[in-house]
Amino acid sequence: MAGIEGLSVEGLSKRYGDIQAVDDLSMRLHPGGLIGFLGPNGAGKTTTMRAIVGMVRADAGTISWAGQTLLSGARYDHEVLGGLGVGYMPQERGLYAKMKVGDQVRYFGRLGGLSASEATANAAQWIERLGLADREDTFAQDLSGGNQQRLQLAVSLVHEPALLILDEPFAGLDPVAAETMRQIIAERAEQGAGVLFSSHQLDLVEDLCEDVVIIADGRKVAEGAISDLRAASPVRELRVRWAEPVLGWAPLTGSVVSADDHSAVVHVPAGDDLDAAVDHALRAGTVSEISLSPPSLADTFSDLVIADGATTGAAAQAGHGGVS
Amino acid sequence: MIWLIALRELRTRGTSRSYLLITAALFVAAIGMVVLLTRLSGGDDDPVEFTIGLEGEGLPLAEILGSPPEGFDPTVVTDGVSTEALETEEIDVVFDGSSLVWKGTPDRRLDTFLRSAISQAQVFGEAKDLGLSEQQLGQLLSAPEIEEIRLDGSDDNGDIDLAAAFIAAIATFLLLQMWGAFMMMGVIEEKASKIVEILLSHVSANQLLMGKVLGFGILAVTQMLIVAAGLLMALLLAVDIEVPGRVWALIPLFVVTFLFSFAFYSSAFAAVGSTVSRQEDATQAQLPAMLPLVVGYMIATIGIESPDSLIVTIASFVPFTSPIVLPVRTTLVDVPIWQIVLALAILAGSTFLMLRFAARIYRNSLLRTGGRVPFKKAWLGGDTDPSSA
Repeated sequence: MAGIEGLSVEGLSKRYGDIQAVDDLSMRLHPGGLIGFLGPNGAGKTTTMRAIVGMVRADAGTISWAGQTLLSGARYDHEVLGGLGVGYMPQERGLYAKMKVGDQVRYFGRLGGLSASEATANAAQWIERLGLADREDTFAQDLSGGNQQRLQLAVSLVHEPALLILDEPFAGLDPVAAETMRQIIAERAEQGAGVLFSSHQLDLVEDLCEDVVIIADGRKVAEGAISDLRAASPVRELRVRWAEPVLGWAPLTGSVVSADDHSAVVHVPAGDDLDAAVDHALRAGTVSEISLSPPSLADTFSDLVIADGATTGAAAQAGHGGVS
Repeated sequence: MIWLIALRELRTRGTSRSYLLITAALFVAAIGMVVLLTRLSGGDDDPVEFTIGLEGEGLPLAEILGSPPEGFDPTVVTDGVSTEALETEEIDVVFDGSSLVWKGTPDRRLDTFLRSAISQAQVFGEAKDLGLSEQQLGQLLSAPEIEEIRLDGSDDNGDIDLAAAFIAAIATFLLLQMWGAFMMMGVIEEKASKIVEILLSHVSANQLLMGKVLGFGILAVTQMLIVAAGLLMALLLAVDIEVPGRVWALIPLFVVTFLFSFAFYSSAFAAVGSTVSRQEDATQAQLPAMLPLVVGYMIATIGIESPDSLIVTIASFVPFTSPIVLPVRTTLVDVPIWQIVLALAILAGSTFLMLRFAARIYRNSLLRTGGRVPFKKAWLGGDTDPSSA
C-alpha cells in the first residue's frame, strides 16, 4: 500500500448481524480528486465513510491515505488518522450547544492537529468567511438554523484537512449555504485535498464533480468519470422540440419518456441507428431544438441501481428494510 | 489529544455557574460542619453556670463553692433566700443544710457535683472540729495521681475521629455520585447532540473517555481540595478542637484513594451513560453504577458504628465499596499498613480494568442511537447497525 497517494480502500467489508452493509468495496481517491459517493438509502455509504474515519470497526479490508495504513484487517490505527488531518462531516449534524462559536471552532481546530495559534488564526478566517464574525461569542444553541449549519461547516473544515469525508453535506442546507458549501468543496479540491462526499442531489453532484462511485447493497456497481458512465449507458436520450404542434408522432425506435404537442423525450437504445432516429424526428416538423446525448446522471444512476437490484434478488433488498 | 479534551471540560465546566456554586456551597458546608462540631464537643467543656441559694445550715457550703473545680461556675446567693425565691428569683437550686430544692428535674452533672461538694463541706467542718489544719486536711484529701491507660489506643479525640470518618464518607460519596451524574450527562449530551461523530473522527473513543475522566477528575479533585481547605482552615481556627495527628497523616491516603475511586466510578458512569441517547433514560441507566456506590456508603455508615466488623473489613478491600469504606476504616481503627497497601492495589488494578471495560462499552455504544443499548450488546459490539440500534 505504501507509495500510493491519496485514499485507497481495498476489500472493505462490514456486516451487521444478517446484513452485509459493505461488501468487498474498493475505491481510490487522489489528492485534488472529488468523488461523489452515490447509492440508495441503506446502500452502505455511511458505514463506508465511518469505516474510513475509524468510527466503525470494519470486518476486513485495508484503508490507507498518503501511503499510511489506517485500516489493516480489522485493526484501525487512530494515531495515524489523528496525524493526517481528516475532515469528517457526519450526516447527523452536531455541535456543543453550550459552547461559544469561536471556542467551538478553535477546539475542533486543535483536535484536528493545529497548534493553538494556528487554530486561532484558522478559526478567525473561517468564521469570517462563513459570515459568523458577529456571532463569535454566541452559544451554538442560540444561533439560527442556517448559522448552525455554517458553524458545522467551520468545525469540519477549520483544520483544513487534506482528506474530506462529507456525508450528505448538502442535506438540509438553505440555497445560500448550499452554494457556499459547493464553492468550498470545489476550492478544497483545487487546493489539493481529496474530497469524498455522498449526496442524493444528483444534479449537484454532476455539477460539482467529475467522478462518482455508485454502490448498492454494500457493493460497488459502478465507478469512474460521470461522462464515461453516462456514455456507457445502454440508452441515448433524444430531446426534440418543434416550432409548431406535431400530433401523433411516434419515434422510429426506443421508448417515449415524455411527450406533448411540441416536444418529446425518447430513450433510444445506444446500439440502434441513432442517425436514423434523429432524422425521423427532424422530418416530423420544423425543429427548434434537438439533442442526442447520454442520459443524465440521475437516469444513469437509477438504471445502474435497478439493474443491480434485479441481479442481487429480492432477499437482499428486503434485508435492508430496517437500516437507514 | 486527551489533554485537549480534558482542557475543554475544564474550561466549559470549570467556569460554569453550577460548578462555582456547588464548590462554594461545599466550602461553606465544610466550615459549617466544623462549627457544628465545635458546638457539640465544646458544649462539654463550657463551665456549668448556676445560681445557688444557701440558707440556714447550708451556708457553710459557700466556702467550698468559692473555689469550684473546673467545669462549674456557681453564683452563690445568701441574702433572703427561701424556697419561694426559686419561683421568682434567678436561682436554680436552694440548699438549707438537709435538702436540695430544685425547680424541676435537676441537671445530673450539677446534682452530682453539689452532693460531693456538700459531703466535702461536711468533712471540712468535722476536720476543723478535730483540730486539723487546712494543710493537713489538704494532704489527707488529695487524690493520688492515677494514670489512665486505654488498651484500644483510643483517646479523648474519639469524637474527632468519628467526625473525620463521617466527613470522609459523606464527602467521598457526594463527590463520586455528583461527578458520576455530571459525567453521564456530559456523555449523553455529546451523544444526543450527535457531535460525538465529529469527535470520533479526530480521536478514538478511548481517548475521548480518558480526556473526560482526566478533565472531570481535575475539577473534582480541585473541588475536594477546596472543601478540604475550608475544613482545615475552620479546624485550625477552632481552638477547641485538636485534630489528632493520625487524622492528618491519613489525608494523603484519602487523596490517593479518591483519585483511583474517581477514575473507577466516573468511567463506570461514562459507560452506562453511553448506553442511552436521551437524558430521560439516564436515571434508569445509572443504576448499575449507582447501586454499588450506595451500598458502599451504607457499609461506611456501619463502619462508623463498628469499624471492626467483618463486613466493613471485607468492604474495605472490594473495589466497588472501598472508595468510601477504606477511609472510614483507616480513620477509626489502626489498619495494618499491608492491608492499606493491598486495598489500594486492588482498587488501582480494578480501576485499570474498569477503564478498559468502560472504554469498550463506551466505544460500542456511542454510535448507537435510539433505545438503551443492552450491556451484552455494548460489550460484544458490532452486532447490529449502530445507526438503527
